[in-house]
Amino acid sequence: MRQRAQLGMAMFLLAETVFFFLLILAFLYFHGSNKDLHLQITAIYSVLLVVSVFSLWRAAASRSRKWLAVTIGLGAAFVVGQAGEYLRLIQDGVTMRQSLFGTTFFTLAGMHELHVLAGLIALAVVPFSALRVIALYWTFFVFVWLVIFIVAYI
Amino acid sequence: MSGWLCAIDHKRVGVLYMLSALLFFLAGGMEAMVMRAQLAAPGLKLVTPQIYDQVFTMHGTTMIFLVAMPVLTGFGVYLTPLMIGSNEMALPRLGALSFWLQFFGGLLLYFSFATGAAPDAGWFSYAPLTEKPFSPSTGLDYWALALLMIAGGTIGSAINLIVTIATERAPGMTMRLIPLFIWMTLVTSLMIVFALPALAASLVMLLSDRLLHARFFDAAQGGAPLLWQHYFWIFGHPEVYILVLPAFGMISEIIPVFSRKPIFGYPAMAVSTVAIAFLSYGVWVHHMFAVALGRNFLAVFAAASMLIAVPTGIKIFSWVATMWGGAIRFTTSMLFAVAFLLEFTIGGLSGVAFAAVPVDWQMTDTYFVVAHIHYVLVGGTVFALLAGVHYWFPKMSGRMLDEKLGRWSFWLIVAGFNTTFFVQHVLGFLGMPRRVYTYPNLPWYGPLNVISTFGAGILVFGILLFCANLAMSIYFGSAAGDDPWNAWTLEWATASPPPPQNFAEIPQVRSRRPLWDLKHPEAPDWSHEQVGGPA
Repeated sequence: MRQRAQLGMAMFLLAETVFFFLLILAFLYFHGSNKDLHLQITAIYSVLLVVSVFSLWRAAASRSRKWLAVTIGLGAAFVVGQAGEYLRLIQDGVTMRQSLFGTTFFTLAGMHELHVLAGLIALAVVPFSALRVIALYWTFFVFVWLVIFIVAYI
Repeated sequence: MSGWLCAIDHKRVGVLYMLSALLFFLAGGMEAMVMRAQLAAPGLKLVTPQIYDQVFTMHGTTMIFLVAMPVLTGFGVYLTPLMIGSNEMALPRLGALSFWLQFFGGLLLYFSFATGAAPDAGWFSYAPLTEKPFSPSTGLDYWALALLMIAGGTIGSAINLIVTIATERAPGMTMRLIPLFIWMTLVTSLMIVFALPALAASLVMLLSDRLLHARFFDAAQGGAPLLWQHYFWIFGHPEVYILVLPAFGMISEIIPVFSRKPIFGYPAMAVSTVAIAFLSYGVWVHHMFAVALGRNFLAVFAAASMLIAVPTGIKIFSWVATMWGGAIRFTTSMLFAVAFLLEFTIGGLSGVAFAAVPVDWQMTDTYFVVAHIHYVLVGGTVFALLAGVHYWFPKMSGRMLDEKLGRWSFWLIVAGFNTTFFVQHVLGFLGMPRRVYTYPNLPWYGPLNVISTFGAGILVFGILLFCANLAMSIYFGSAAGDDPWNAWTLEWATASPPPPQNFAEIPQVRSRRPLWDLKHPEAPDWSHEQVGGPA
């Protein structure tokens, strides 16, 4: 049973790969300037997100509620941190309407953040027996964020 | 009723897919008739240009996303576990979720009529026409949101089929022994996983533009309308094969049974399917030849497009070779299968002609395109589906369809279809543009269009007769028995209709015709075939 669910999730993530590949391609195609982004503070949130992968696999392996709570906390910190980044950008006048950079950045990062939010909800509600499948999802979107971070920030 | 609403059994979900497709087929068919009535004579003004645009957009969107894909998915979901000797799909609840996403996506799309403004930018909705300043009504928002839901549902069912085929096969059924319908369903599902996300990405960008004032496709603000064309057709061309490969699969099951011969060239069939899948991702620009993209660039895509004719030709050859020397039984199902071979070949040939860039330049956006797409999707997909319905209806309902009514509907549909669409090739040569609500009284325009409209009337009559046959046979058809066609695949090894648990005992599979082996223990296929090797 677990094997079916994992294979199903792997297929879903293949579809997501195509989806984000095309959004990243659109971002690169318009190659806007990233001078308005805040590299340092975002790097901190990104490290927290990467750490959450390890805590999640720990939680899945040991069926530990404590490590699961740590993971959700780290994920939530990332979501809040991202929200802060968006607010700062909007205060600086960088919006979807204002430039092609805003258009592509907010669409790409926003779609990613929606997926992280969905992952947080899944982490909070699924039983431990299904946690490995969600861990695949979570790890994948942490990886996607690293790609976005490299493409957009660096 | 709640048994159907809450169904997760693959047979019920499959039937729900088919019924919802039939419902939307009637809607899409009525839209087609509105167009044919409006075009019956030069200068008619039955509908306004605005309504006409909405009608052709809804017709295309409906037939592709709410009819062809769901009904093929329905057959896949219904037949896959039965054909691979499994009692259930791998992920039954995902199956139900996928159906309802699809169905409510369809309702959402049709709700746009109630708001007074259905989408009106064509089924591929090119930017910048779809941008807010040019399409201020909410129609396109409904269109994009509905298609996002449908894309989600379609991906879900594709994942379910892939996992089912990977994990639920009967003992002994290796990938070299699965029925060709399963091969084609598997390849189609993988194509959905790789292609539909491109549609989803395009729609997210379009919705960002329309609702959040982004500027992806807004040329005035530095955006790129061409990006929509590229992304949409990266989805859109594989989509053509997503719509036709399962139909190929059905034909590959039906022709051998009614020719009383095993399929010719099973490995070539499987390999050519995979080849088509790969090639279909390298040809999307042939929808964009009219865009100035550079001669060498276009030449590459023209060559790739023509190359697809090779694996497709291999299939046509294999089907004909299967029939050659066979003891052919011309049931209604087989009649549709043979008609499929002829009609689809016409559609394929006009497609190869189109792949030549200068021909495309001459014909693009004329009725030649309309003729081509309908020969592929009606002459190909729909004819194969009708063959499939006549073949599997006894299994699904336990009743036989009436052969006499079936033959009448067959000849009416063949005559109506060709009368409607063949003349549209000529209209295309004459330069009649598609998607324009009326036309002046130029030489031949009037007569050819009235022939086309007359043909559409015959086609409708044939389809109504087919529907009447379905409805009557459910109640009055003669009992089918487990295996009315003396077939060879596992779905015929269980009762008709199959019980909730498909198989009381799942047989060991040792050849490509497991039911033949069960029926003929004295001469099973595996005794003279190298097991798992080429047949």
